Amino acid sequence: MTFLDLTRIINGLPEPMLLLGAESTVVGANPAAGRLFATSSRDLVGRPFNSLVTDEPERISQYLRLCRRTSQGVPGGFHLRTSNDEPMACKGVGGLAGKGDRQDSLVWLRLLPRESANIPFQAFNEHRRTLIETRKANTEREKAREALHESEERFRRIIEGVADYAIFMLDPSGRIVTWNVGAERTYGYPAREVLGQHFSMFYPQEDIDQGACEQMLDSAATLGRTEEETWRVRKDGSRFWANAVTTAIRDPAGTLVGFSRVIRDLTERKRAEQLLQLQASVLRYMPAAAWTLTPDGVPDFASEQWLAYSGQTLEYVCSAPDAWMAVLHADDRDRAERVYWTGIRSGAGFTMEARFRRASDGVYRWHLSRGVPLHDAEGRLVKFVGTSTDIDDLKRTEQELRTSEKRTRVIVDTALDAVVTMDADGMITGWNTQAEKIFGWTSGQAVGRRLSHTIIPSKYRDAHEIGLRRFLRTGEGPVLNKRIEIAGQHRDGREFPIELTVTAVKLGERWAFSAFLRDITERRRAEEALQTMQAELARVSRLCTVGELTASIAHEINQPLAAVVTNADVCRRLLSGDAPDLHELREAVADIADAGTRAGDVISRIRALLKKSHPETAPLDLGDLVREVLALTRSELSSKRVSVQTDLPSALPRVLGDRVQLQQVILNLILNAIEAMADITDRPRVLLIRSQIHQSGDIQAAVLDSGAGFDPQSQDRVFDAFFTTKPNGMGMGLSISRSIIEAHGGRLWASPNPDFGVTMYFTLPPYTQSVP
Amino acid sequence: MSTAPPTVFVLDDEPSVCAALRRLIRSVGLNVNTFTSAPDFLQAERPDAPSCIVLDVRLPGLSGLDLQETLAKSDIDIPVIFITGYGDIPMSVRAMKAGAVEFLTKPLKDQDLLDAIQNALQKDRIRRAHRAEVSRLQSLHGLLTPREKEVLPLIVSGMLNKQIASELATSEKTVKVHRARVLHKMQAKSVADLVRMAEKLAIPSAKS
Repeated sequence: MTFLDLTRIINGLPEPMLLLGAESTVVGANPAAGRLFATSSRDLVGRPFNSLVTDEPERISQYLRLCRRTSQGVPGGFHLRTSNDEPMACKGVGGLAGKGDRQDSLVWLRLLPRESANIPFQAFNEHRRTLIETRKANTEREKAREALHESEERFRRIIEGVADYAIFMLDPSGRIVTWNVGAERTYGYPAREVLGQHFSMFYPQEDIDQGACEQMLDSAATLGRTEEETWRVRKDGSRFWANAVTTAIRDPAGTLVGFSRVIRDLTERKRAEQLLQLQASVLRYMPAAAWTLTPDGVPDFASEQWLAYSGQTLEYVCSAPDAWMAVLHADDRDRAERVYWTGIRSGAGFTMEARFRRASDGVYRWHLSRGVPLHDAEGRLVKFVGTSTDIDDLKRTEQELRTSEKRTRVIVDTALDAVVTMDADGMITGWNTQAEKIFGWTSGQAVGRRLSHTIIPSKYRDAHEIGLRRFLRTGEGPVLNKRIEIAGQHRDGREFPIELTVTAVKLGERWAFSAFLRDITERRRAEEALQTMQAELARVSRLCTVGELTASIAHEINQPLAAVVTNADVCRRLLSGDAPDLHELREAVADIADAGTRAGDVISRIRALLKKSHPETAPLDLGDLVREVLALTRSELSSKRVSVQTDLPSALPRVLGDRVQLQQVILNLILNAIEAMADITDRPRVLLIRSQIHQSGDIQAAVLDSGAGFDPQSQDRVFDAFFTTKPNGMGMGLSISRSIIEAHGGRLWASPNPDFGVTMYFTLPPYTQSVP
Repeated sequence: MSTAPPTVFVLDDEPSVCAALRRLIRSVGLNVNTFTSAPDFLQAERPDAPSCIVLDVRLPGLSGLDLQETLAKSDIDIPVIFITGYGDIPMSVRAMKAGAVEFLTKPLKDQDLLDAIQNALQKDRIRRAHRAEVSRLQSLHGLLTPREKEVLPLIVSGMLNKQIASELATSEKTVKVHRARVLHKMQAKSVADLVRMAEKLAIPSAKS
């Protein structure tokens, strides 16, 4: 194989190859390289490599230095100066020729399509070593000749070493005379099995029958070069799709001396092409308007669906960047253009919603168009690909939703409650007009602020944040979905009572919270006024009740007074005698003191019951309360001939409450019981009072009488204000008693006894030491 | 007549009042028995002596007024002095109608009470004397024959023997014998004496 042969082979290779000499100047180029740079291979010679690519000179020289040094295939990549910085992978092979100066040694550059960038190159190290040894033995002149020879040899070796192509030579009759590694790899035959054989052995029988081999050689001989893509047969009988370039080799005199054949296995490429074709057709016919754009924003493909929808032809679409915009709705054009070009120029792609006219009926329908950039392995923008999806129906739904949202917003805004929404991060996302009013922040100011730092007084903020986090972690929110009263904070720092209901809603994966808040300052004030009034009413009622007891109470006080007076009289009488009985005197005086104390006790008890004071809560023993009231009513009970039994265990927990008010309730119940038994003559009049722990854990008191009981009609009404069965009753007793018990967190109710009379029950929560 | 010392019964639910009253009444040399409830009193033995009850209107169980009624029903005719801490008019009217000798309000004036007690005891003495006389007359009356019992009311009504005989359809002579026997059996000194006895025995005269 001569240098010329090799040059021809190189020239026949479909891949661009450059031979770079000193200073990275092109010293040789094949026609494929010329085509790549849109010039002739001859014109490339003499041009610096830098001028062919746009990459940094430093990067280029670094790469070439590497190539020269290693003699191995060095993968790399450049951007060609032609056709928009087309990226190109390359393999540089160095260590060629040389005057001992590596800096100046030649470099073969194979410029490859990107996907084949990692084709392995044979190592040339060993060959290079031989070369140097030979060179040492030669004279200067010989060296010059050797150099040429070396080059030839080198090329031959390169060819032989090329593994990705089958390269072999035929004599004029078509018999194989050389066989490289690539050929062995491609066909599966070692050199010894094929040398001297006719090359038709690689053709399928049907091609041979049709004389394909002869035709091919004839046309190569005539045209100088042929290229074909056909099926070839391997040693194992399998077929592969091959590209074959056959070049006629003639000696300087023009005599045909043989053919070179370069065979590439295209099976993979074929498969890739088929896949690509499939992909392209998928893309083309996919049920979505799909398209691709060059980095400049010029469409270079649009799917059938888009073409059918818009009525545009592919040529028209690809003719100009804004051709597709012809079907844009006039109202959307400015915005769409702006979004489009911003996305193209920034390289980030774009997303836009715009109306496009449907060719079939002229209706504009909303489309969502998205273009995303495609980058190569080195991050360079290759294309934009995208789709336009008809979202008109969605949009309509959205519009309806938006209308309904708007309506909701109007409702929310005009609501009497403040409506505030918050996201899972605790940030305010919604703030209605009423919220503006009661908290002093405008919607614009409030939205985006941290809720806890906007309306929650500082002392509750931590609790709020902890509660929020706990809810997000566990899903437990004790304050959710119930009405609670809490303090809120106005923008000016003022705290005021609010009523709050919080609900949590899961939106997708995130929680959102909505709160309905109401300023209850006025209500609180009214409640306080009402409470004062109720307390006053209770007091008045108490006065009336005690008034009913006047006779009994007077008796209670009068009895000890009577004893005092009589004892005093006795003393006077004894003292006026000659020999007073001192023992008798002493006893009388002691009795006077006792009785006086007792009268004083009664008066204190009455005073406590009648004094006008604000309710005071204290832990109280229910048994004590009952016993004190019984002491006041003892006389009343005895005069009405009612016998009293009590069952008041002292071990019960205490209750928290106002002594006077609770005694009022007990007094009321006792007087009612006495009243109920007033007309009973056929059975004992018995009042039973007992206390116990109710199953709910509350303390329960029961007042049982053996009276006439309620008549069924009044049973439901006995707790109503102004309902009375007594001729002189106000009808406030039970009504007030119930409101007192309920204000203490308890309940008061009546229940008929199985035999006679009624039991009145009331419960009160037990007092616990711990602060709630 | 019994010679037992007069006794005052005190009924008050208030022990201190009982104690004070006992002291007061004893200081004038009278016997005192105190009770804090009506049943206690009813169950207690009562000495056969002039006595009276100092009774509180308000008593547990059986009230003073109830007790008064009970006593009357049981024909226990002891004078009652009512005391009350809180007397009202209807209550005192009822008490007085039922025969109370006095109605005093607490605190009591010692002298008022002691006077009332003396009065009551005096009344009881008289009552007891009267009752003893009636009892004697009743036993005498029991000695009369049925015919003599028939004649007695006619005699005390001042009828002559002749009139009585005509009334009874018998002879004047027989009536004369009956009159003599009645006067004798009743130990009457005169017809006027017999008339007083008949009054004590609540025998109505035939004319009235």
